[in-house]
Amino acid sequence: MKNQFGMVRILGQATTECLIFFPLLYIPFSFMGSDIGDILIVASIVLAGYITGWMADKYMKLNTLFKAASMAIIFSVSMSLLIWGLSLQTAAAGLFWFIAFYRGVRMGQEHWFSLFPGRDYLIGLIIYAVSSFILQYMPEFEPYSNGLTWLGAAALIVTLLQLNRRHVEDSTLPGSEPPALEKRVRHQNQGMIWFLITCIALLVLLPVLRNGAEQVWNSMVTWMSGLIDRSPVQEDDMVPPNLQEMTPMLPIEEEPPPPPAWLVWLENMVKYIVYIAMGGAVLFLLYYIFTKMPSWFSALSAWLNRLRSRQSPLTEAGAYEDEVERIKPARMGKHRKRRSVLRKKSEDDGMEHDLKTLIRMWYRSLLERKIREGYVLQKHLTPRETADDLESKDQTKAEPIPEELVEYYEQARYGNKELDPRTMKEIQKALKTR
Amino acid sequence: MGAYWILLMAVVIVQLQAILFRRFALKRLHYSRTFDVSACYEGDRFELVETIENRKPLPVPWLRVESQFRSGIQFKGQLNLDISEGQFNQNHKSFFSLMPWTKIVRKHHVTAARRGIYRLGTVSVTSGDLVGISTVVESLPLEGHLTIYPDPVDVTDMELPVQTWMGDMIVQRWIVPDPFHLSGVREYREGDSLKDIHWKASARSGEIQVHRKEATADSRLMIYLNVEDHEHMWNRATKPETIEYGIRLAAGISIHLLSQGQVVGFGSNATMDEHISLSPFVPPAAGMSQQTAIMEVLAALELSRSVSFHDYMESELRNLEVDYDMLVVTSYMNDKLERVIDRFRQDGHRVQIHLLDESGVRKEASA
Repeated sequence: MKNQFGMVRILGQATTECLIFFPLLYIPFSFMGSDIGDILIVASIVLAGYITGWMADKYMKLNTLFKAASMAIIFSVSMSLLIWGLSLQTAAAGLFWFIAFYRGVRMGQEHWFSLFPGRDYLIGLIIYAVSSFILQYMPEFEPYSNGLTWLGAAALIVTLLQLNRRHVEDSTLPGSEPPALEKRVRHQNQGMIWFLITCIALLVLLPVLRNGAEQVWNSMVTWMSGLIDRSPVQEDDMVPPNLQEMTPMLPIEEEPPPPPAWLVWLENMVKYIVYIAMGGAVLFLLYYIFTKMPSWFSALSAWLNRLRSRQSPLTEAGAYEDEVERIKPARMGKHRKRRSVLRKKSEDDGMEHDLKTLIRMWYRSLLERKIREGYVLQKHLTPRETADDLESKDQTKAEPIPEELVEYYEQARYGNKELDPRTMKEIQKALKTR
Repeated sequence: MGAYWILLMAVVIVQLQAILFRRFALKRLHYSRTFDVSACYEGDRFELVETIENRKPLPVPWLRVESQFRSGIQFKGQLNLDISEGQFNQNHKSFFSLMPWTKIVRKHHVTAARRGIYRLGTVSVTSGDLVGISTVVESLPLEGHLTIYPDPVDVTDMELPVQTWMGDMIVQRWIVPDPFHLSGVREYREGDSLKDIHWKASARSGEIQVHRKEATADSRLMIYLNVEDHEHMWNRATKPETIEYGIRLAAGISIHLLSQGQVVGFGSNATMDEHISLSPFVPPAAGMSQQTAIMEVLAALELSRSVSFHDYMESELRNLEVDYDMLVVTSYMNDKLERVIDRFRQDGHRVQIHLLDESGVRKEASA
């Protein structure tokens, strides 16, 4: 089981390396006249070379350069001669198979991240870019250009995902230990990378998308016109002119007269109204989806977050627990301002009650802040004694709790005296500056 | 349209995202950190709560929060990724990824391993883009601290003159009866309170009998702790476990006596944590607030001396005005100290000396 998993891992790594440096394989064989099938055979044997090298290292302990190189030569030469005999393809393929076998051996001895660092991805992408730019001017390469484009796109996707993963793992500063990363962090970063890839795709395919959108719109308009437009067919148009001349005068009634102008006008009006209504319905549907999508997305995201938190190895180890929740974005539009003004007006009736509640809330929040900073609350002390105790313990601040606040708090809590709103505002200003 | 065009657009988009995250990653990001308790004892478990809010429509791909703590608190499930522990300090890292308009509350499970004052200090917040082109760092000062009290030694089985300090010694010269010490019954006399009537004794004897109360000693105890672990100590204790045992012993004695309603005070020649404005002297008093005050001082004690213990006791001799019971907790005695102690006794104070030896430390370690 372990060996199978290791083989799958090596295959994945080998596929990534082959994809990133595929132009180096693809282009020479294209110029040698090989068809796509031959190129795919070469690529498959390159992948097999990686796995063969890894297995050779596992069972034969190829722990020196001489051993590894010797086995690689034997493998590459024998496979090349077997498939192509003595030819130019043999030389090219042999080189690639040698490299593949040797790298397979090294993958069993070292971590792949050190064997294939981030700069190799960038080198591969540069090769894709330069080669595709140059080769577009060579007509003999035209049949292969699509393949290079698609493979370049795939290499870009793999590069972005790998670079992101390595960068995030390095950012955890693991030191000499293997990095430990929460699954949620990994998945969220992957999601952002896919969003980035989507943006790149939209930007690249913008002209194509525009043409496609125009075609879709034209076809919709034609279809809607076809549904509604039922104007009577002119017999003159249907009957060919020769036949029209040859038709004898039959004893039939005269054709019905054309409809009156006002009816035609009414028909056109209804047609336009239906067009507008259908367009408006489509727009409303899009608007509804657009406004609801964030809440659907946030619900999905919250569910995924809960799922990932439960599955995280770090939380499973009991190191910490995470609670993830959504925050409502603050939206201050005109109607909210209006609502806040209305609320203020209705609060004037109970203003006195609110001032007392407000002063008690301020005192309590200030005291809670001091407790979080390390102050041990002594419940037997009065508010003034508490303020004095705070001042004696924290000599960095002149008045940890302002005297006016203590006085008003005592009045609000224990007394019936009315509170002055102007003094309340001054206390509020003083608290904000703390 | 070839691969070069795709890659060119990719470079543009990747650069744009790097600029975006460099500029806005740490904007509208609120971070706070607190302990869920302000004080606890050694061995207790508590939580370090980190709250981070991303109040903007831009996600934060990764966020690293680094800080330093004193090494006396142990984080549960410590991975080498998160904690790198040294002798005196440890580095702590938290790693987050935040979607737009998201709040994460992370609770770390922590054990209080060693007494002391633990501050939250300044944290360093680092973020960047998706592929490592740009990084941005910010420092956030935080306030708040946690006090870990020493684990008090259980003194109930120890050979200490606790009985005297609890005021059970009957003193004939006092005329005010101690209402809490009953020594029998006597016949009712005019003026006795009805609540002092002993009903069962009255029923047995046929005459009204009342509880008889004795007068007891009114004692005040001062505990003096010497942080010098040997006579010629220069500055810092070289056997910290002995002094730590002394601190825990002082904690145990003060808690025991204060719980019985006694008056206890504390003093030491130790220095205090540099950020604490307390002095290593707590005047004698009673009650729960006194216990808290003594525990706070014991938690903040450093194992280095401010003056020699002999000089310290001489200054106390001048300052003490009334008769005290005194317990001197020290690792050594010499002639100088003996002379100072004798002068205390001549002034009317009762002095007991408890020598901190390794057997006590070993016994406590094995318990």
